[in-house]
Amino acid sequence: MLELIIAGLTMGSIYALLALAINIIYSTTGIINFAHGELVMLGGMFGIVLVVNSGLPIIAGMFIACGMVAMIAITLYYSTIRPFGDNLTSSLGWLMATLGAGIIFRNVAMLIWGTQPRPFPPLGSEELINVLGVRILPHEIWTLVITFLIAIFFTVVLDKTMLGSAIKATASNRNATRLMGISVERMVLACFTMSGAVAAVAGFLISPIVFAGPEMTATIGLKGFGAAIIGGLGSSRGAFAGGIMLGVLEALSMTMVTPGYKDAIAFLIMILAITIKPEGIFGVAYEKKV
Amino acid sequence: MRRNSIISVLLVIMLLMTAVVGCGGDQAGDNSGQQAPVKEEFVIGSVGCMSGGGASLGKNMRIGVEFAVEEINKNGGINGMPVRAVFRDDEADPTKSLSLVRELVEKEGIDAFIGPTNTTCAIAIQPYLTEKKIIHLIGGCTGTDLINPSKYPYSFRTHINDRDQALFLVKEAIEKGYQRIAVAHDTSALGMGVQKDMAAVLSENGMKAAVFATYNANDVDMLPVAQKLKESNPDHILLFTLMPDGARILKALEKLDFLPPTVPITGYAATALPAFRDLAGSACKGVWSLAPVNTTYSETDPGLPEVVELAKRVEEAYPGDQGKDLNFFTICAYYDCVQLIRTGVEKANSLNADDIKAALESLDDYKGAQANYQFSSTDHEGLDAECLVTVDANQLKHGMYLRIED
Repeated sequence: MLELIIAGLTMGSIYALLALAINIIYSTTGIINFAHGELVMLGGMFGIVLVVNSGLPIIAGMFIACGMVAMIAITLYYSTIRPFGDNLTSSLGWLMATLGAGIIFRNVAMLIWGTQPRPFPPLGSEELINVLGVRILPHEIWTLVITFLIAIFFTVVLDKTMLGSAIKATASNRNATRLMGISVERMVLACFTMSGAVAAVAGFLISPIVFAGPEMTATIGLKGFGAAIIGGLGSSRGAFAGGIMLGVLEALSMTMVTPGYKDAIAFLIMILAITIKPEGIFGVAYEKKV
Repeated sequence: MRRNSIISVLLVIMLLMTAVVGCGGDQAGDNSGQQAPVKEEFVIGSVGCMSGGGASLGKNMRIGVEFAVEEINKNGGINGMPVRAVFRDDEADPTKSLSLVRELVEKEGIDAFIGPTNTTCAIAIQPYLTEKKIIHLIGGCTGTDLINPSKYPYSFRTHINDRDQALFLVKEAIEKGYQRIAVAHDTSALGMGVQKDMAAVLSENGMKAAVFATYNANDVDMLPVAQKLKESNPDHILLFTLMPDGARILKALEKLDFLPPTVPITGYAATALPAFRDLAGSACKGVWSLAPVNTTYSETDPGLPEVVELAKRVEEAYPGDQGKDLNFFTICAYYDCVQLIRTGVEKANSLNADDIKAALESLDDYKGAQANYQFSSTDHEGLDAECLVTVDANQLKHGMYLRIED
């Protein structure tokens, strides 16, 4: 049982990482970036080039990949979301555009790196360590810790800083925000930059577990969206809690059903959570209040 | 009179034009003709994944083909024609695979085709090769449906298909005396079909599987699968999985401290591939795989002299690889593809695809590097599971794997 809980926490951290980055985009634009899973994948593939092929230390490679994926995220904004203007909720064009961009990213990755998954070095030692009688990789602890730190970072930025207030203002009313002298464009770009950087970190953390390849986020990308919705879109605490909850419940359910039904169980949990609390665990109250 | 002369001249001109057009067709390499065209060289086209994560598959294919071509040319070619191999990289992309095969057929005028290295790519190119009547030898793809003489009459295979490997796994485990056999496989149509076949074999022997631990292909967290396997208290675990899934299951079993020698684990032939060992890392230590008997050695049997000789030549050409990229039985599978084409053409004494097909179908107990081949008009699978043996792919000698003997 303890093994499953720890595995659930690791998977939950991965879902939470995806959900956190999805949330930060939602915070300013009110949309969901459906190409986010592919940005995570690009983070992993850049990791292969920088760490595995070029021999850079993992941390150095991670910082460079953060910059690269952030640039791609900004390009994604200008090419798929900006053209639809301020009133994004009245158009579904961005939905198709981000979905399409995700497919393009995946196909380009296949062209460059092929389709076969590749091993990726974990953070810390490759030797298993014993924690409470359970053998785990140090990388799994790092994944949980880094996800927790990123969740705290986003919570502090959004709740305790001027930047956070400006982001919330942008989410609430763009015209009023402009009248207050805040550059809406800069706020959106800041969020896409942060989202891209977190996607790269997620790519580095996920790759040792799932192996790096163009299809690596095909299923977990969807679960990341689910985690964001369960936790409450727009809330960093919610994204973290939603991800962890989904990961642990999914793992525990495996004691009752065969792993072949794992995805069905995960999506059932999502549907139940949304039915019981449609606004998510932590809701999105600030968007309406600012 | 004058009018009749004009008509006669016109008829002669038309007759000559028809003859010229007819000859042109043969020169272009139309394999549907009855007469073998005189050619300066025999061209073999080969497409496979030669870059990215699956590059080692294409590399092994290329080495096998090149070694055979070099050997054939040294011995005077095929019916006096020197052989030239043309390679293309499809990056495991079916669309790319098809366009490259078209290019090889239409621009290079290939006489036979070997490859590709991925089943999805093979599915994409087979209808085209069949339409163009190109002799097609498959050396690495294991998809069971690829070999169907009524649908793809020019496709032959030198590797054991998925289903036969699965049945061999369970039969071998029963024969070795294991009583509680657990199987891990995915929920794809192939995986579920194999479960049914394996359950039938077990039932015939009055047994039941300790567990069929299923999962969705490409599932990320395999710990629940590993736990199901461990909880069933098996005395042998069989892995019938895609390479990344198998690697993840082994890593999860490593966490549960449930790997060999605690419990023997055997995977199908793909688990012997360097790409699999790369993914599974330390977790694949002691895990057994399957390989064709001729490409193996044992403590008492160094292997067939001619195959050992080939293994040594490959080792000399690629010193220091030590199983990092090269997989000897894959090299042999493609080496045999070329040798079978040579044998078919020489036996048919023709370049006509139907004649070569008939010659190949008449081969009985052809001695190949991997094993002995046998084809018929209703069966284009050159090998059956009887040529397989269990090996430890971590113990190499000249690239050959150590055979596990009782």
